[in-house]
Amino acid sequence: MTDKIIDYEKLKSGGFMRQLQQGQFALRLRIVGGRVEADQLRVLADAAEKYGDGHIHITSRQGVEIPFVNIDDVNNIGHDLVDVNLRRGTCGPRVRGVVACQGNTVCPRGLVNPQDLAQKIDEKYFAAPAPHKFKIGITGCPASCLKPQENDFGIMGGVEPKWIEDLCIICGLCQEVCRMDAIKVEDGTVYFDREKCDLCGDCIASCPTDAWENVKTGYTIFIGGKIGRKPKLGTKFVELVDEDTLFDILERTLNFYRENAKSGERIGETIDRLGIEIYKEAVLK
Amino acid sequence: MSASKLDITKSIDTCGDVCPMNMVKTKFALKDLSTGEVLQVMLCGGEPIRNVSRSVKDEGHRIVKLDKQDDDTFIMLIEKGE
Ligand code: SF4
Ligand code: SF4
Ligand code: SF4
Repeated sequence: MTDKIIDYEKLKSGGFMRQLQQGQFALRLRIVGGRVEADQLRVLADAAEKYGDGHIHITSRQGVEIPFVNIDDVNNIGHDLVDVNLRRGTCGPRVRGVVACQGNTVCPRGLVNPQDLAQKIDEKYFAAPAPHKFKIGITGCPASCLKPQENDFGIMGGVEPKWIEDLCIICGLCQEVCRMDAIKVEDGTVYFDREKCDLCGDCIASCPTDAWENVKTGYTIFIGGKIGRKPKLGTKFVELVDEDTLFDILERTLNFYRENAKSGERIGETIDRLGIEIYKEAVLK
Repeated sequence: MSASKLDITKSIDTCGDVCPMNMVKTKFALKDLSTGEVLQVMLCGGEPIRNVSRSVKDEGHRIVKLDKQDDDTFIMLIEKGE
């Protein structure tokens, strides 16, 4: 097979990345939200010994790669992995693997289920063509462990608190708990500054009398984040949308990107060039 | 404000403890109390207050009072739950 012409682009879209070493490839796997089952790990370990050099690389985006796969083995390795539902990843100008924290499936602070959402987004958009790479990250609360602001499309869980005067005992706890200085307990009442609130829900979780009620759970979205040579954090452009709206916005965002990007542009650069208002008009209906 | 209206059964000081020791100490102190009895906890603002109030609530106890002291520490009164 080595004497054939190698189609690097095709290999790349199938998760094989050319290594520095001649004829060697690293196989990237399709991992969603950093979740790998135990049986998959066993098969991965075996595959790394059989086709690679016996080690696995954990990537910065919760991915798993098997380096040092010989060009002659690129067609064989997939068969071993498919039995445990390990699929090949992707690179190049496409929607990349979705990263996500564990959110409310494990973390006490989690406000939404990023794992479930990551699966759904991955099913629908994995490796979908785009003008350049398109990264999606989901984090379960404003603590931002999964850094949604560093992604082209970043998603953050949030809740909207509402104060119920009749239940409040004016203990002052919520003021101390709030990191955003959004609550003042003064003169026997509570002042809430919605502009300062980052929708973390700490007041709801702490209030001893449940005088803070969660009136809405949803997703806050950041657009245009990237790291690389010219790092830039994503811009928050909508708060607390429901899941259907989120999927509508994502669909329209990819269409906007495909229609408007100049060659080699990440979506943040396209939006910087055209103006965020134009983008918002195109995706928020 | 003073906390003197409530009978305090036990008192602990967690200032100087790092998280999650303040939480753990509070939990253990509450274990020794009967339902309805009140634990007084001295603690620092910021992370300790967030963590202790959350875990106390999650475990079914009730914070009945929080007093800020002049030195920016807090006195929290917790009523033991069921
Ligand atoms: S972002 Fe929030 S929910 Fe996710 S791991 Fe961090 S603290 Fe937990
Ligand atoms: S924590 Fe609850 S009871 Fe205490 S002041 Fe805030 S809203 Fe009122
Ligand atoms: S949700 Fe978070 S930021 Fe908003 S008021 Fe409550 S504690 Fe403060």
